[in-house]
Amino acid sequence: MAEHAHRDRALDLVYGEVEGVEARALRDELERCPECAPELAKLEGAKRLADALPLAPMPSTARAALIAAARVKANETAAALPAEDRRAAVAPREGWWDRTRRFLLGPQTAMAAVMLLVVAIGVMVVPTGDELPVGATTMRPEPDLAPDVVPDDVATPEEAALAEREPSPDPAPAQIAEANEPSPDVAANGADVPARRARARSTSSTSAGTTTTNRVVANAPEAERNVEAQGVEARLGDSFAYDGVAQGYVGRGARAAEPSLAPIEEPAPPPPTMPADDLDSESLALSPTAQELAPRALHQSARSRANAGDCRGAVRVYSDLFARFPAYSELPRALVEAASCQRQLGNLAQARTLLVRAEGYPSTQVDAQRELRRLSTVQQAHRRAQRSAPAPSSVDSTPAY
Amino acid sequence: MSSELDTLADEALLERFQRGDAEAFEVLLGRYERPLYNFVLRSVRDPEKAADLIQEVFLRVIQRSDQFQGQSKLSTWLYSIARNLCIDHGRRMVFRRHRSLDAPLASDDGKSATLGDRVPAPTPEADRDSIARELQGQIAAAVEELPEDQREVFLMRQVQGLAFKDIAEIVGVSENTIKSRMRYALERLQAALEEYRDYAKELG
Repeated sequence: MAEHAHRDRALDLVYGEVEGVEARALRDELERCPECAPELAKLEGAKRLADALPLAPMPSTARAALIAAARVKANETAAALPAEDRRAAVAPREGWWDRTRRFLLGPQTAMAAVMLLVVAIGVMVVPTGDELPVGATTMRPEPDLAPDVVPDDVATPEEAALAEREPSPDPAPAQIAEANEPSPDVAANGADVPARRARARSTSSTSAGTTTTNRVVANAPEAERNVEAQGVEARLGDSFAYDGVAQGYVGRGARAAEPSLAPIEEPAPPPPTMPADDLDSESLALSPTAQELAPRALHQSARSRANAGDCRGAVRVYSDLFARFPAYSELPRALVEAASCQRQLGNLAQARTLLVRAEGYPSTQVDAQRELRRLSTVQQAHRRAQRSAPAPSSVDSTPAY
Repeated sequence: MSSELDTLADEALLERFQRGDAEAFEVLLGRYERPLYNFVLRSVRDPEKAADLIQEVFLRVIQRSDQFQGQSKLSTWLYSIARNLCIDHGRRMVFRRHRSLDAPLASDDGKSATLGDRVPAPTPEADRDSIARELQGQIAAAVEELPEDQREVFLMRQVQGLAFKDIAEIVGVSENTIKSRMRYALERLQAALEEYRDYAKELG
């Protein structure tokens, strides 16, 4: 029975349907079997003959016709497919090198190169923390230009110390005395310039807040530090203060913006224009702080709506602006504009409220008073019209179907 | 691009063609055109008719590719189409009598000379090339004279390399029956080509 089974499998062995160890074992079995061995040899001989069977090629005309038909069908299919499927099916297939080359030549590579360049420059320029003075941040301190602009007759503390250790061959007694014990006026004058520059730098980076302030102050001599810090704090104190809960810097007015009827305060004025020769102040005047960007955007949006005749939409945006940014520098102007919108909508009471608020600001006092007079005229006209108009009858009030 | 397609399985190529990739069909055609054409040619014994039928086979694949569900091998599907077309052709041509090489020249008795007897026998002086050509002709003739059921099994296994179980699926009989038919076909061929046995041993 087993021999018969092996004999049946002789064809599998001859035609390679049994492979590997199984094939070797089967061959051993068949060759040891006196009946199977001749059968196997016979089949193998027949197969060798059959291998010589010639194969005629298919006519080329038939092949060309089939390829043409296939292309027509493929085009029809591709046209019926969605665009994405069609791209996936018909798009030329790329090898790994093509994909790699396309990636390397793409814009992302240029962007990565630029970023690497920036990082490399940053690594070369920014010093390590060991090089920074105690108390300074890891940010690279800007060079203090104070010594460059100090009047010639004012000695820097370093010069004074040097003069104290190594007196010049022909020191002027007055200069030495000024260097060792500067008079309050001279000290104040000498500290004013660096303090002003430090103020400008600190104010221009208000988001950095006190950290930046401290950094700049730490670079100044001790005599200048107090003066500078007071100046910076005095300037920052108008509109910004640290909330002390790791919230960063927020507008003082923003905290006061909670729904209360606090007396109207003049919002922080826009950053003051510094002398034209002060580059830092120029950049400060041109670049609004982050705190101003959002309310300005809202203000512009409200103005656009009002100019487009969408007074209702403008009022909504103005209300949002007043609620979220009560310390907005253009708030008085926005109040007047919002009052105009309310007046056009017929909300005279709301318009009056807004104008009364705007009247409290010096910048819009005149405009607000003029608008209030105009509003009063309109309200009087309304009252006269209401008094002269007949009372509506019950028939008139019946809705018409 | 073709190198990537060449690595794909038949079924994956057909799927690509179903999505509109004509090149995938060309690769498929390259794989099957020669064995399938010879399968049809040995069946109908007419090159012109074989060309028509092989076109019909592949045209059906083109037009009905979406009917292939992938539940069986593509080769099984292709040979099923070709076999059915050959059977239909055979039914239409049933009135035609093809003379077999083994058929007696005289129809009165079965002991007269055969057509194969008129084929000049190889001589010891004949060179190997001429023997090879002669052998090929003899094998082709012997295959054509195989019974239909044995011939189709022989061609699918020998020429296309289909597994016996796949052939059984195409023909619709058991695998053992297929193996029996194959064995008979080989025995017939060997008997018909007995005089080339020594030459065949040299080939092996």
